[in-house]
Amino acid sequence: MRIKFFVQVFLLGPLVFFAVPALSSFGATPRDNYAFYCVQCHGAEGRGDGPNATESQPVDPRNHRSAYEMKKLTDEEIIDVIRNGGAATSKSTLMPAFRRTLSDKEIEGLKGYLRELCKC
Amino acid sequence: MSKYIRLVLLSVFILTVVFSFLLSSAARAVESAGSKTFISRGCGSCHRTARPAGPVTRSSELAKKGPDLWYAGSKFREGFLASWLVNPTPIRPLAYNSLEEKNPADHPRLDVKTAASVASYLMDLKAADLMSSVEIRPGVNVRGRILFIKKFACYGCHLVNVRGNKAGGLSGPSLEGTVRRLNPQWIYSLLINQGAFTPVSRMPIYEGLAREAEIKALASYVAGLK
Repeated sequence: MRIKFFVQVFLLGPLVFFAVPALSSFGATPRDNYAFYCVQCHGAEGRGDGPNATESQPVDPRNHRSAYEMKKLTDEEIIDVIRNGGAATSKSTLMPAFRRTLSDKEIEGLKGYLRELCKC
Repeated sequence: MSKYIRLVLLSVFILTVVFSFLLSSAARAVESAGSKTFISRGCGSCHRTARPAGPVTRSSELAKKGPDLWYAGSKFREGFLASWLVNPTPIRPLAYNSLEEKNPADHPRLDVKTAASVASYLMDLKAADLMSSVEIRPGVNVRGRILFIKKFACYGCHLVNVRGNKAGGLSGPSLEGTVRRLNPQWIYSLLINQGAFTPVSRMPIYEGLAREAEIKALASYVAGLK
């Protein structure tokens, strides 16, 4: 029994060691991803007032707290615009495409987080 | 051939060899001085000059106080660092890794001689992933401009100079004056292989979102910005 325990520790230990750094990069929550990427334009609270929302920009970033604004978008449209960017989806060209940056699962998670922010 | 001419040719040869040796020694001394200054001034507390050995994470990258310099010799144009270190005007509107705090513009200034030696040391730091064989001519081009504004939304995060006025976002480094600052081949290399330089970045990955010709046009446009 004790031998089996030590074998498991020695075999699985290195796996855990190598897996942890990988998880810290790829195991980000939707909230983490929002705080890392989206807040640049949409702001820390999601009110469309991030540092990139300057007066020189042609449009303001969408206010993710506004149920009125967010209800205009279906879940599919939200996912589409995050994946492919504004230019490809007839939205603001200031919105970049994230399909090479985030996985489909992460984009789906962000959509859910946006629905939490707008409560809609 | 007369004895006199042989003597002159031999003298010229010896002088050339000695002069070359002295020049290379002087260059090595300058590099060495730059490296020593970099260490003694504590520049390494904000800037990495060696590629991280292991994987980087968001938390490790967000803890950094300044941009990586381990590929400075690939990133910057010759002469830029030497002049910038004498008069370090902010390149980023916001403090490094901050989305709220304004850039305090407090980068240490160096005198001309020290700046030249530090710049010489940094410009020797090259990245193996630089696409040095690809020709990117800096210059305004319609295709690149459309990609910059419409397809890639670069000005959403980067300031540019539009007819004398600043326009664009603040979260990324300013792209004003890239024509004097950035190596066009590095811009191209970053766009097609971002992970080689900044594996963790708030900038979305553009590799695979456009054809090679488009990326070249975009790199050319960015490299020519005044």
